[in-house]
Amino acid sequence: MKVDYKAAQRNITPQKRNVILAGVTCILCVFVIAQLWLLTAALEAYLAGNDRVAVPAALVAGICFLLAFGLLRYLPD
Amino acid sequence: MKQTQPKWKKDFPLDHAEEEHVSRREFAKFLVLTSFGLFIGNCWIAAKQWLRPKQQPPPDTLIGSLDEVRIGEMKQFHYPDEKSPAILIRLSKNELVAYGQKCTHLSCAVFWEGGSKITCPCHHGFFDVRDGHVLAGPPPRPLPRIPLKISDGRVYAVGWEV
Repeated sequence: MKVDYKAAQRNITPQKRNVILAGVTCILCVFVIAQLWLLTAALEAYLAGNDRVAVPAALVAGICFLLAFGLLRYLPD
Repeated sequence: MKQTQPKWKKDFPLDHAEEEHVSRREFAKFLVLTSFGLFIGNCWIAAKQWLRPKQQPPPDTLIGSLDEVRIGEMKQFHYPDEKSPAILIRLSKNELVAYGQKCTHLSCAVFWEGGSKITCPCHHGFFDVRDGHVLAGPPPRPLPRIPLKISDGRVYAVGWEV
């Protein structure tokens, strides 16, 4: 007989799903706010003629996006 | 009294509240989409910077003779082109400084009237006269500094430091 441990876990702690969803949403919000800050900083530096900010900012923004995208996998159904 | 549903509701069984409901999962997906948009914005700025033509250093330009600016006075000139106003300030006999005249806040003209501060009258921005850094007010960056060269009693502008 196959035991569905995941279903059993879900049933025993129904609040867990809520907590995970709230946690993932909070982390996503943090990523988006960080990216917004990076975008404004990069734009400000670009307009000021500073060439050292835009590329690192784009790289970090890319990492943030990849992490955010990866987090989608952990969203419960 | 029991209310009966109108007949048309059975034909169009759409619930308005349900239509506008956004689930947390949908909201999370929207956040990831926003994150992608911001990433594209950052890439766009990096690409614009990469494609921006490298600026050649402006040529040495004669501002005037040393005698034209007395100690404690300011002279206006244009550098590196005719559309860019700049100011030359003589602080002491051998100490001259020059800056772009556009305030780094909203491009108002800045002035020096003696003392240690260059003033932007529009929004009360203040810059240090010695090195152009922001002392107070809304300007986000120092004034662009223009290096000077004095040769045979003449003052030349020889660069543009942002």
